[in-house]
Amino acid sequence: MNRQIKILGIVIMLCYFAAFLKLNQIQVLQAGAYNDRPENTRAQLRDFNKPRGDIVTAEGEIAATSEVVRSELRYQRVYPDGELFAHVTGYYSFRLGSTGVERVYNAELTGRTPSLQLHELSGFFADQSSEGDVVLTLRGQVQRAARDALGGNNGSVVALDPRTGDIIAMYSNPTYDPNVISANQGEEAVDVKTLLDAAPSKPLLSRSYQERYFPGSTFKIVTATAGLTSNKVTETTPDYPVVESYTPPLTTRPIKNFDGNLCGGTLFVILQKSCNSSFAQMAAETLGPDPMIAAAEAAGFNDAPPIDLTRPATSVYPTNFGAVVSTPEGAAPVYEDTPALAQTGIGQNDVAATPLQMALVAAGVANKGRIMVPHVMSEIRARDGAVVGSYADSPWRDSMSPENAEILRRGMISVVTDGTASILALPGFDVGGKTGTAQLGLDPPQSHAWIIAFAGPAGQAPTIAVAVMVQGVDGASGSTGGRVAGPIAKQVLEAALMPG
Amino acid sequence: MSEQLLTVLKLCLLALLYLFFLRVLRAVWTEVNPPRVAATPAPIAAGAVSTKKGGSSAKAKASTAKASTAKASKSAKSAMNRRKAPVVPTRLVLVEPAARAGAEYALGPELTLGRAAGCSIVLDEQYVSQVHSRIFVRDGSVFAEDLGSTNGTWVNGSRAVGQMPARLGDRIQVGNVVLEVR
Amino acid sequence: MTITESTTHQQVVVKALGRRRRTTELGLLILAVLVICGTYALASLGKSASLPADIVPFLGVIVALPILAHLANRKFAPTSDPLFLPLAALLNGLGYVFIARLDGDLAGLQALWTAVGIFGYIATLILVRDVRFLQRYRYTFGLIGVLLLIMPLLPGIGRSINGSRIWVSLGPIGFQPGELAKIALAIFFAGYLVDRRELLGVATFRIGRINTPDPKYFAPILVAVGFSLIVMVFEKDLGSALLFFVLFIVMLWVATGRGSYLVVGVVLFSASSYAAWRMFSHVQTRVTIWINPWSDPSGKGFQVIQGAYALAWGGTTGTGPGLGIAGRIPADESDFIFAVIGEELGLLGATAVLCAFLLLAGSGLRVAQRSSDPFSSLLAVGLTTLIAFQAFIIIAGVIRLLPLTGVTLPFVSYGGSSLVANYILLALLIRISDQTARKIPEPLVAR
Repeated sequence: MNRQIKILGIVIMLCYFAAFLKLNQIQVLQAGAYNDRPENTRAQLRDFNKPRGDIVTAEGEIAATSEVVRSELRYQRVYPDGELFAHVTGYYSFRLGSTGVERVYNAELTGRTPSLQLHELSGFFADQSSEGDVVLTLRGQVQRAARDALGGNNGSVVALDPRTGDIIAMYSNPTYDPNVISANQGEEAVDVKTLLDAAPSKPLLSRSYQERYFPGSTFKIVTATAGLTSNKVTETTPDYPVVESYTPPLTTRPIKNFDGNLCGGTLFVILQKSCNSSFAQMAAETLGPDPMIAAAEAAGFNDAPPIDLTRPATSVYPTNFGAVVSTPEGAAPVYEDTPALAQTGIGQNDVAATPLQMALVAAGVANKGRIMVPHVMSEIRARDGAVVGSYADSPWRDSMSPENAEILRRGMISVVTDGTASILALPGFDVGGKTGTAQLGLDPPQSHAWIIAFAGPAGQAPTIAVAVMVQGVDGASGSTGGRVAGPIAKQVLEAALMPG
Repeated sequence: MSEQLLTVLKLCLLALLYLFFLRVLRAVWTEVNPPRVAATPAPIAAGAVSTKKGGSSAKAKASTAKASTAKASKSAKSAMNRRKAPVVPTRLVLVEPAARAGAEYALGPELTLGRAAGCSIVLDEQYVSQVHSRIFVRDGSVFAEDLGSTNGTWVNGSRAVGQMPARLGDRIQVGNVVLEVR
Repeated sequence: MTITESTTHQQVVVKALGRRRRTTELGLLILAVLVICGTYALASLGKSASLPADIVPFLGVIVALPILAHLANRKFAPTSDPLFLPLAALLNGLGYVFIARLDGDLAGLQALWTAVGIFGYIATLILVRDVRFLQRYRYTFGLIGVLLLIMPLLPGIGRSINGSRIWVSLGPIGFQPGELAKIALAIFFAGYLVDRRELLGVATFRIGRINTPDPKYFAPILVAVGFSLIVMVFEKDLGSALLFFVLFIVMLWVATGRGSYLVVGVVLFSASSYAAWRMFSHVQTRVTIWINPWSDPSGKGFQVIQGAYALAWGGTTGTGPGLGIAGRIPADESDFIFAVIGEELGLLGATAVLCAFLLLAGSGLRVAQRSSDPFSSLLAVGLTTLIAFQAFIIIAGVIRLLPLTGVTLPFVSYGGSSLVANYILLALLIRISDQTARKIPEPLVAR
């Protein structure tokens, strides 16, 4: 019998060894694949059963925090300010996923980054967990000013520090309450999310960085940059004719100045008056496609800004204007699509930009031609308040030379002192701006009202750049942008520059 | 409670778990290869003492059995006395199985032990192989060697590997038969 | 040296052996208790665990009971093998901690059942002083086994839970008589086969492969086995049927040494599996889920998939006790407790459970090998086969090595019948090993 017992022992051993091998396969070799399966909710369950760091504003105000609840998921995300920071913090839901800072900085908030875990080790025996707080660059006061100024209008306000890329305020209307979507109890969240997804006004999308609009006349800063960079435009030349409208080659449709005004002159004059005829002519005849494309892309067009938020939209500027048709003397060659090129010079046709992108255009002018990477995170703090990581500012684009930036800086300041953006004037501060009215149609007359601006203490480098866009306002006159968007921008500038 | 601390404690727990299994494996080893103690009280008690004096590492499990050998110290003493007398081994005395105890065999230059009729000492017992082992004298010393038996040949509880010397008073086990060297 | 001296010497040796083995056992038990308490402490530290405070006395019970069993060993089976009890205590204790971590109410009941199991263990040690007592009543045990098996089918007391009609309710107490039936039938097989083995000794054991054994000698056992298997399939207790079949084939083969039985067994098994697959939809479901659980991830495949996710989530060292995501797997405290252990103690913990069963099996087979009494030896083989393959069948089901068939993980899973039956089984192994060691002071080969 002993022989059989020995064989039986070997068979049992082989069975258990097979089980051991299979265990290795499940627990080690294929563990990652199992964990990543979409219907496997363990990773989320873990996160929802652990404390999660807060998201706080630059002033320390809590924008998002976690509360312990009595349910299968121990922690419920709470946003004390409701919709105020919704498009920045995003939401954090077990069933619906997460967006915004909640998603981008998930590892920091759950404490899974090496620096946070290292820090936790230092407090080894303290009753301390590793989750980190995300400190935003946003200032609650400025964010509130943006919300209040925008009021019931659909639109967006973006304010940032041109020197660092810190987003100071970023508000978009309409918005949503992340508390409702993040609710893990009940079915309301799913229903609300379905409704919000279906709503034509797209409240879940941030108009600040996820949606694109005709930038209108604010794009003239980019056209001017193209002129200066290509050395075909200076402060004094050319002197564009004072006309009612400009008709590009190959078409009979004129590009009219607002309200049928006569308009023209040198660079600063046409900026101050926002002459459509002059900038259309500059794009079509003085410059041609290549300098325009180069300047637009140097400012960040055709590339999504690397902001630390989810799904930023790419602002677009067309890159193909067809073949050369003729080469007139003393002007740029005429292309098949030169009429379209003329329209892009005033921010129409196929140009589309996010308010964030236009704020970056202003920031480039304000920061000696250098556009910094925009970001909403300023630092990561451990639970004991120690800073374990901070955002490393870095340049994103050089939109123009410092010399040209200085010219445009003065040019934009002159728009405030002597032009369409006069509403922005703030005593004691150097303020530059550019209005825009992107016409959507004339029957009924509707347009996006824009304004981009920068400001700083008199004689010093600007400390804030702003872009305001109010979507689909009634009216399509040249003053619409300044009239509608101007006061909003001014309130935001005041809140940022003169706190208290 | 810090997460890292919990992780460290978890690893300690797993270590403890495997320490348990190490101890179990050691116990299995002891079961399969029992320590050479207490096979016979008399000579081994003497052997255990001398091992200790020699300073060589006594097996851990030996200590547990030591108590029992101490109890048998009376016979141990007599065994030591016996060992002092310089007597040359001359014979094998059957100790077990009890039914045949007392049978004596003279030691020769070479003795074969087994169940087969041709063996010098025929041991017709259930656990003895046909030709089990041989016991021979060389230069006045007794050696036991296993001849590929099923149950092996043992000297004082240790399995004979190759030619194993047996001194006066040692016990040679062949299957279930125990012979003492006299 | 005289005969009396030799006898005393033998007693001394037995005593020394017993002392050594009990010391080893106590040392290992203390370590096992440390592991259990450590796991418990960590589980209660784990943040997501919700252990009620009144669990602590139960834990005391869980720790005290193996010590009690150890004392019983000292008294009633002093020279028994020292590995069985610590390994069983470790498995029982680990299982208990994880049950407590999953469900505090069940933990109280499990503590109670453990106590009943330990008393069953001690009672078995006291009642069965000689294994051959069992041999004498082999047919009685065979009858008891069959009766126990069909009990759940009786109207009035039989209960069907989760689709399997394997429960019996007597007043407030519910239990699975099938767990005890397995032991009774193993005793019957051992007794019967040892009889036949002697009867057909020359034909089947010594020479073998030449004469075919007279089928009439095997008719009774074939009837018993066939009947039992049909009952188990009828009760939809596939795991038990599989285990029972393995038990029978293994014991038959070990007793006779004829490889042809294995071949016949495998052929029979394949044929009946195929027939079962054709006839029963629940068998088809098991196989479909085994091949691809993702064909119905939120329905029939849910349990297996969640088990795999739990194991994968555990990785190498696990989430830590109490830190896994409990309550995701149906039957996590019974059939799928292995997945919970794998999640919270990782590959290392799961492997430890495998090791414990493997070592238990090894000890059982060692006892079988050392025993000079064929009945004891064959019974030890049968009991070891029961434990080793029951554990393997459920573990292999959880990790999708085999189709899932619901049996408990011995000593670990929640369940009173299983726990009590396994402790009785353990007591029988202990008894055999004690008897073997006494008869020939040390197993012959090792002296």
